[in-house]
Amino acid sequence: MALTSPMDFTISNLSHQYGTQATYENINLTLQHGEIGCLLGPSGSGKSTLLRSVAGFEFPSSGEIKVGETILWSKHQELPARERPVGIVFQDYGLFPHLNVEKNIGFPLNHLSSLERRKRVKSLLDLVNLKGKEVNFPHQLSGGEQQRVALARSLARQPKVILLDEPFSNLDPELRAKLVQDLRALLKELEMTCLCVTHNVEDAFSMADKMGVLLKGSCQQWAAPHEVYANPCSFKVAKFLGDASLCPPELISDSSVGHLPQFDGRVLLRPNQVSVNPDASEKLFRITGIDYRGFFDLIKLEGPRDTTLLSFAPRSHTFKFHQEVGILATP
Amino acid sequence: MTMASKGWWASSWGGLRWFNASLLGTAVIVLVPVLIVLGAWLLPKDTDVWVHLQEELLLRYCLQTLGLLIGVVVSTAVVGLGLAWIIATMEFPGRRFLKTGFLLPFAVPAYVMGFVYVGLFEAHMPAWLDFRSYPGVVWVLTVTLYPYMYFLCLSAFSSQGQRLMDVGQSMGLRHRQILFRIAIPFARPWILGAMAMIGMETLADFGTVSVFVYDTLATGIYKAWYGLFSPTTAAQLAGILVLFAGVFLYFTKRGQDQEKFQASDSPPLRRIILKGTTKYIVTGGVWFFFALAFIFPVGQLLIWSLEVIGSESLGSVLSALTNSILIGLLASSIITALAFCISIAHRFSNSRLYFTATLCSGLGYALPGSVLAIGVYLPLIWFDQKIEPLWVAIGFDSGNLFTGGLLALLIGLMIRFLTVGISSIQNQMARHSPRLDEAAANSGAGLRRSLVSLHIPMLRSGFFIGFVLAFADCLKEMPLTLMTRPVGWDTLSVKIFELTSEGEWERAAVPSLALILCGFAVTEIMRRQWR
Repeated sequence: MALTSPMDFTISNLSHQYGTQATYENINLTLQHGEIGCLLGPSGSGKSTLLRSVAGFEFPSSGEIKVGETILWSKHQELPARERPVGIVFQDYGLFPHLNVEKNIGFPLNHLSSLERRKRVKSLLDLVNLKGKEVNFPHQLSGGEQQRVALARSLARQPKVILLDEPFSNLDPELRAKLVQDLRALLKELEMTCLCVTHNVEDAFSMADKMGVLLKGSCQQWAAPHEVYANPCSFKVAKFLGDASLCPPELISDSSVGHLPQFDGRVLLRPNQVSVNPDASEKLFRITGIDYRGFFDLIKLEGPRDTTLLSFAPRSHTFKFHQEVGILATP
Repeated sequence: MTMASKGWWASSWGGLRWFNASLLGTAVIVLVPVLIVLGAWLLPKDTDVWVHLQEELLLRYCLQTLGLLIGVVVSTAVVGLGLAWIIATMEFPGRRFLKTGFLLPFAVPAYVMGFVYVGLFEAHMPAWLDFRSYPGVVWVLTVTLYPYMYFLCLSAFSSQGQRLMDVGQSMGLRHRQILFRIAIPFARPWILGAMAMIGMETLADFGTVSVFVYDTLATGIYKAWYGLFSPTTAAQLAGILVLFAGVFLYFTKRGQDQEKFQASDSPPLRRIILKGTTKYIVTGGVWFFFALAFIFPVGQLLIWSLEVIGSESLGSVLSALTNSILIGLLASSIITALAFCISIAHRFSNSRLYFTATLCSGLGYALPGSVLAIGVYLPLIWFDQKIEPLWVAIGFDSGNLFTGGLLALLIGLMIRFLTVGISSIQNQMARHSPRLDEAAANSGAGLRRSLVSLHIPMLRSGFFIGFVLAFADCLKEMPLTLMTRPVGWDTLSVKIFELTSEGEWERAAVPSLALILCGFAVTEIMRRQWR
């Protein structure tokens, strides 16, 4: 049994409700010191509320939030928002529009002498690569720069945990992939524990050491991204992470599919695990859709027992609508 | 009670309870006068006075008040809407100037406009043509109050104008049909909002109807107070006036509460360039109206002032000006400070009690000055009487601590114009995202720091606008000042009342011009909101 290191961040059995409506229920997750966790979920799944509960802006109805040995919230003990050792970066960044970059970042450092504050702000600016932007106002910065100011400001108080609310949603898609990598590298360099919520699967995959999918306020799985992808705890989770279909095992000849996850006695197949075989002896499936996707086609297949499968087919093949084919599943 | 109703600020920013307390306290201070004038009906009637009133006056007061209300609301609607439509959709010589020019009459207090017209008619018209009549008083209130309607309708038309025109034209409607079938129904929430303001101003008017010797409930209250020496009757009449205001507000607000159409951005209006006869008729018409509403009255005031300035000392006007500025600065400082506290309490609350309290705090504009004078003065007299024995016991001549000084006037002005400050500050504060407070708390900031470093600096223009609007309103306010000021302590509006009630139009011109100058600050603020 692993001993809990002092800086672990733990959420246990946490629930929250508005009126009688549960926002999220029975959430359990742990991040070890320096780990990055991503909670993935569609809008309205309760993920932002969860993040705001950690920051102290929402009050759960039961459970516990802890950083190391410090209880941030439990039924009987509550740390006010302004005293919590967490920094939050809001989706719209929440920068103070009337203060320049230097004053925004220096805002949490009020307790320092002005000389020391300057020094700290300067090192934070270096850290997020914003040197030379000290006197700019938020509206004079690009979206990516605003995000870095917000990040620097939330790091200023040297929090134990950083919370990121949809950190990439306001950014240009072209820059996005690079910014995700940069942010991850920076957090790793600082050994900063981080909990991030997002609705974007790719962001979560590239950012996270551990991730979970929050659906209708509940999260059943908390594990490494490849683990969640390969062995999702439910078909809904599997589908949220990417195209997926279910197939009765007897329709697949290959015996190795026995290792694939199964739900309701059916095997979970991703489109890349299914290949279309026009020359098969047993043509159990019929092509009911061909969706052009650039590098490949996404083929929709219908077969016995109401089975619908998806398959990536290289463009070199030419399939026809209603063509009868067999399939080959590879794990 | 669910957990969700508790805000995070309760545990982080304990100091908020002081703001909550100030909100509740203010709501109580505003409600007391209302309850007093309504409660006055429970007191025994002052029989002699009441018989006199019932026999002759009460019905007349009520009918004339109602008549004035209807006349002014209807005619300002026609004038304000019409001008806004012309300015928004037509191009003609002088349009650019008139667009803001039509706000200028707003700077002229109605009672000043009133005496100028009466004086003009006296000097230049045959004696049988007396301007002191129902149409006369409606005209004067219309030319000073229509800018409310004009301002709001023009804002509505400019926000959605081109879209409305496009929709109308695509349905094959003519220009005039678009006005009646699309533009007016669209602008209804704005029109009703303007009607509410105009109606309240009309019910509150005391100065103009006094000049015209047109008896309304507002003058009735004054007469009962000073002429018949019956505070009870004055309070009872005030109760009727409050009911009038309440019923009127209820109907206009009910209409407004229906869906307020979302005004998303529309391309700027393409205006019709007028040609031929229409051009001359429209141009001539709007310029003639502008001349009647602004150029003639202000020109006449300038002429009268020049006549008087050489011939008499201006000492009394100067001391009235000083008093006006003093009381204006004091009252609007209190108003701005309280409005800030109330807005903060309102921002950080999610209980119905505080929402209701904020609503009550802004009730003042529905309370005519004469009503407030009674409602504020009566409890202060009672306080003075209660503590009198105390002063006697310690052998000290207090000289009416509560009613002898400026306290009643200050409280009255504060109640009446608090709403001006609250709406200026709240409009601005609504744009401060809740994320800012959360970011401040997440940065470890306490309440004081987030107010001093964030909200107050970000509210600068809200403070400024609220302060200036409240200041101008305090300066103009006549009946409240007249009825609650310390004896002999004159302000500009009191001076104007005294001079005009003796028919000394020329001598009233100088203080009036001083008031108009202050009024220009208000029209300037309105103009800037269009940018």
